[in-house]
Amino acid sequence: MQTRPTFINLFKINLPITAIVSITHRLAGMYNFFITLPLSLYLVANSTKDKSSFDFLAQRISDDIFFGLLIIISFNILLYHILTGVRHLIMDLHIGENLQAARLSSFVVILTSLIIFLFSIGVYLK
Amino acid sequence: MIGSRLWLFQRISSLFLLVYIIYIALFFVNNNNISYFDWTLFFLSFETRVLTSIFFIIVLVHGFIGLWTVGTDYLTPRTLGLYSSFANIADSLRKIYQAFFVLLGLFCSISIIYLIWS
Amino acid sequence: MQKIEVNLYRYNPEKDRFPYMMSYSLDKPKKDIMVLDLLNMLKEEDESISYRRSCREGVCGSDGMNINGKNGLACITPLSSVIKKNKIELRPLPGLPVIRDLVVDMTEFYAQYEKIKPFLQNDTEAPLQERLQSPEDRNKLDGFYECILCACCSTSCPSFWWNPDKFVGPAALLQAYRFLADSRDLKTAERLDDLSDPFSVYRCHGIMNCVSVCPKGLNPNEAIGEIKDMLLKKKKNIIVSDG
Repeated sequence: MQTRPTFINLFKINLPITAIVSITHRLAGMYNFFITLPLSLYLVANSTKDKSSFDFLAQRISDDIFFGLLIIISFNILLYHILTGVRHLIMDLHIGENLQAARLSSFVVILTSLIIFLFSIGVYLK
Repeated sequence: MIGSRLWLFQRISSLFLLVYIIYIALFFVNNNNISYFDWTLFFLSFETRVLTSIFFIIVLVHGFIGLWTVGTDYLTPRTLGLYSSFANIADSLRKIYQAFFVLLGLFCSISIIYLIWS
Repeated sequence: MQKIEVNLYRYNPEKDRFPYMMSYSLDKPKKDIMVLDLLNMLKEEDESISYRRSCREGVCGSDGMNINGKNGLACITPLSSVIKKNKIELRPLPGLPVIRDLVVDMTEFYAQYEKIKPFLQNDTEAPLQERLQSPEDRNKLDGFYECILCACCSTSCPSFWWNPDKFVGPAALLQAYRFLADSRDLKTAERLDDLSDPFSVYRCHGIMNCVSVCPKGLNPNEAIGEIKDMLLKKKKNIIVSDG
């Protein structure tokens, strides 16, 4: 007898904004650990070794646009994880547990993150 | 018991991690044109080295708990069976994944702590 | 006459190796009907279509299904509220094994419900009539006793999809809280003990699909939040109930 199929097509199942926030919080956390953590090691190593390493690093950040953007993006993903995490903590305190409030707080967090991201890109490019 | 311990640790650790990140961010906000000397004076000060060390230990455990949760969601016979034909190796894949992130995390955190104290 | 297109998930284990979507075209009804009425119309054309239904008024929970991506009860979902560009897609509840067409195997769902012991536990001598409860205490059950076990919530929860055997799921957790909150139940400590592992309750990350789909307007997420509080208090060894 063959095993029974399951309907689990994520493209066909509604994912409300609260679900989006949850999964992106998880993805951001994974990015923080696998990318930003090693990146931090690199930055600490080169910024504290000696003056020439520090100067080279600073130069690299302003001249190498890919490297600079990597840092900006990584910082913003960390910030996103923090903002969605703070939202989690507030809801753990039973604030905004109803559907409307949860949707609103989701929207606010996403909007805030987007604004900070655009702002930081602007600051970097100047 | 263990469920609420892990859950509580994530919350309390996240507060400490947040405070440290704000502490570091404030340095960048309050200082323009940071030189090597400005930076090392701050970052390699005794207090900052202690805080940084604690940070990278706590971030390790916080990350381990989170990544373990991710692994036990997706790298299971059931979930992999829903989307692929790798259900039979799911448990091995999960163990490899766990070994990988533990080693990576330990390497990064221990290296950073070593670097700032040496 | 306007037509509506219905895409229906079909699977017959006796004939089909894999499930597939079957398209039906119908005249758009003159007045608004429920999705269940639509299914009944389809079944008149194609007898082989299988789905569960009973009360047709949203109280038995039989006809839970995925309607244009969102779980709901077919009998109380008006067509007008779900139809998109004259198209509607009907699929079984996600995550549970499909027996045939829109009929799913609810075994895992019921197993979790059984696990939380959905009955009053009180060893004291039974009174002549009822075990009394003040109106204030009875009010604490509002929002929790009304669950009809339709499974719309649990089958919309990703955590339940990945671990239906370990994570109890929103429906059963709502019921678990219903008994934790009941002043007449005396096994609060034991109930909390059974929920204190990392999987039963703590796989809830506040995704809130459950609240979004509940056809009875209940909030399992809130109930789970209360359970987490009780588990914390228990951990701190504060006395939860008198024995």
